[in-house]
Amino acid sequence: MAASSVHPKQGTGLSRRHALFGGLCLCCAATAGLSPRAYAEAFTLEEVGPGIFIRKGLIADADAANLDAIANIGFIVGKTGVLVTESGGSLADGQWLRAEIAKRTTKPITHVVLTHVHPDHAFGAGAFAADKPVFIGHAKLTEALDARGEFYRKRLIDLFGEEKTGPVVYPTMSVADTAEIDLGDRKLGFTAHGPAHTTSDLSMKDSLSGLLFPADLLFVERIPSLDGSLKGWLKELERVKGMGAAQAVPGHGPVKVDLAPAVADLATYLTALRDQTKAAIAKDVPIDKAVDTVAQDQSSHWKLFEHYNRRNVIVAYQELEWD
Amino acid sequence: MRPTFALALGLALSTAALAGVPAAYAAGASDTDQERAARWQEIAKSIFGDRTIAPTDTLVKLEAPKRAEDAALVPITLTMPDRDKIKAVSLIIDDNPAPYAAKFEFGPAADTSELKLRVRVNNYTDMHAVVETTDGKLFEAKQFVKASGGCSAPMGMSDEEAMKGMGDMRMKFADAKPGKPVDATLMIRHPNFSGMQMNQVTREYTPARYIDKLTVSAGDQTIFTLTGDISIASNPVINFGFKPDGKPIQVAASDNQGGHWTRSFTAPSPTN
Amino acid sequence: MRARSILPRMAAVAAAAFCLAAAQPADSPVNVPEPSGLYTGPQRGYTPPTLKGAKVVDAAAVVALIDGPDKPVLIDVAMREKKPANFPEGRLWLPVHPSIPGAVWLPNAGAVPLAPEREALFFERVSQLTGGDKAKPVVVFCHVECWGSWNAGKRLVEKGYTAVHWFPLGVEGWQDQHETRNLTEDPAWKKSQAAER
Repeated sequence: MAASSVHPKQGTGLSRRHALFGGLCLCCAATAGLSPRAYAEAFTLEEVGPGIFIRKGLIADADAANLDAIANIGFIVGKTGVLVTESGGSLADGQWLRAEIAKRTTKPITHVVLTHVHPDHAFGAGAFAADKPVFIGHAKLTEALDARGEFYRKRLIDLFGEEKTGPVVYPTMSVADTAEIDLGDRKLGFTAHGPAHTTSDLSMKDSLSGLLFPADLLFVERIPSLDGSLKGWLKELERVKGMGAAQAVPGHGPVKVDLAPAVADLATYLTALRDQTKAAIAKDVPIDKAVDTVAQDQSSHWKLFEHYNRRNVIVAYQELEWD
Repeated sequence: MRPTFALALGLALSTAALAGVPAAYAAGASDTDQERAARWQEIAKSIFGDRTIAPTDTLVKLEAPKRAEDAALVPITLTMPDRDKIKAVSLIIDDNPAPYAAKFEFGPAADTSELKLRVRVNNYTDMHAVVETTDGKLFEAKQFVKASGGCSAPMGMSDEEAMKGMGDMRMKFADAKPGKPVDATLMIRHPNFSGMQMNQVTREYTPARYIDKLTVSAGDQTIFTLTGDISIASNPVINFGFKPDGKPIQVAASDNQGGHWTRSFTAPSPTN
Repeated sequence: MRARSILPRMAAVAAAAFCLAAAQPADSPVNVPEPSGLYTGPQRGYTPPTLKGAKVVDAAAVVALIDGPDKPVLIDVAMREKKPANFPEGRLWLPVHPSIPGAVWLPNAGAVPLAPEREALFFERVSQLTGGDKAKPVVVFCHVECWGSWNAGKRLVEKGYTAVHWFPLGVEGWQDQHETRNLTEDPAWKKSQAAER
């Protein structure tokens, strides 16, 4: 029988449910259902640099049809092997990427980067298990996966079933500060960041192209989600600016951007979030009122703003009131 | 900073436009009011025995959001301007399964003008604040709050993650004017597990672990002692007033599983 | 209105052909698919927008049923509030269960698995309440974002009930506009509680 139309809960009710699942927001902004064929057709890889292929993630939240393909994923072909820059949001997403790699090169997949704990960047990794690559992650990624991996996995299974979800994959190489991988004709330099977007953010720079891969330290187009430290994120953005890259591949948004303006835009949002939250705290605006007003002036610049901003305010408030 | 997921599943509804309410279900019908009154009588008797509780709108004011954004994090404010008359104040959240949310007993260094606390609200409910005056009389104020599920909302993170930094404290002070009481904010990291939260992965209920006693003093003069249980929100944030004497503020917190933490804070001096 | 995202152009074209325009999610903002059997995960979580074989209703529709000629049987399957094992003696514990007036409370009847005798008792109680009439309207509910009522509804659909209504917004959806009544547990259901897992 057809579902009778019920008003979906709007306004205040929504933001809390998003928060329950951390970085995995299950709110379906606007994805119409994608059939497997539509899914496959929806995604193309763009060559953003020599031997660097990136797929833009959907600006949407994970749902049953899009298989959590909401992050910018891709790979880099080196002389000795292939490095996967981000593996995808589900086993199915990772399998798609792996098939695309096979279309373009027969080189072995030697490295897979796990840029942080969020499921849209972590659950594709299972697709590469057979390649026995080195899984590279922040030194704090293991404890973050311990805390949340199963939780995310169960939520994804609810959405699209066990077969498409895949296992929780742990890093086999931990980066506590910096590290380097040599692919023969190019080197990839890794940096483990302090708490920012999450507590396990890992960025990477390619020596051949000079491109920076800040992962979710850089959001473009899509509203950033705060799941680590607001002050830390602003600090790490300063660091990112100083990494000597003119262009970058952000975790969400266009597949390649000029770094300086993109960082500036993100810093504008985070600064508004910080300053307006601080002002609210100073004026004794209680946390449940602050969510209505803080950073609302930023709303036109970011997609999915209404879904994440309030939660960002709550996280920011609870961080900044400790000052 | 540890990420925070101590947010309830969205169980408080936003205001939906109401076309028309069938007569039998008009808000304000007496059955529910009677039920609420009966429940309050039951709770008041359990806590206060046969003592008379008179309504007041001066001795204590209870402020709470009419509709809470987050049922697990409902900020309430108690205003008690007659500082020298107030011995204690109890906060009851009538329809919570553990309705006796908190009791503050005040000491000589207390300034009761304004007290703030964050609580969990499990269902649409009356809240009562009952003050005891120094001459042993009881007075109550009431507020209705719309929120649901605050006590059983899962934490959204592992228990280990929720317990990180347990016992860490911070205290902030508002500007001190000489001779005036000082406003302070105490923050304690503690998950305050209600025992009613199911871990979504293990499907076990996380055992209750909550701050059951908190004593705050200025030097050796008590400001307040707080006793409570599972209706207090995780990571308690308490605003209170005190009379400064230049001595450090001592905080001693304990929880129901034997956790015990003490901390000293330098208070602003009472003179410029 | 929620902001609509902009799909990549190719996807939008392909998606239009597969657009799930019809189903408004009952209480969840996302299309969690219906499991093929009963749901075996934790009771709290996003639920599907539909229950095959049943009608998804909102509070207004429940009121219409109650006011209509064929009075529905209202079945509340919300779990009891769990008393913490280490809740101290001497602190007040007074759980209360507000619900739709006139409903019958069979706590946790949407659990999976249910002991066979409990499941049998559930069907027996519903049969008694409907007077043995499988076409009698039944409304199952618990809380918002709770699978219990979905499972209970599915059990009834599979048992052959033809007028099952699933009210996913549950007590929270009701109490926003209507009075609730504090319910005590159905005595027959409570008596067999020793069998509950």
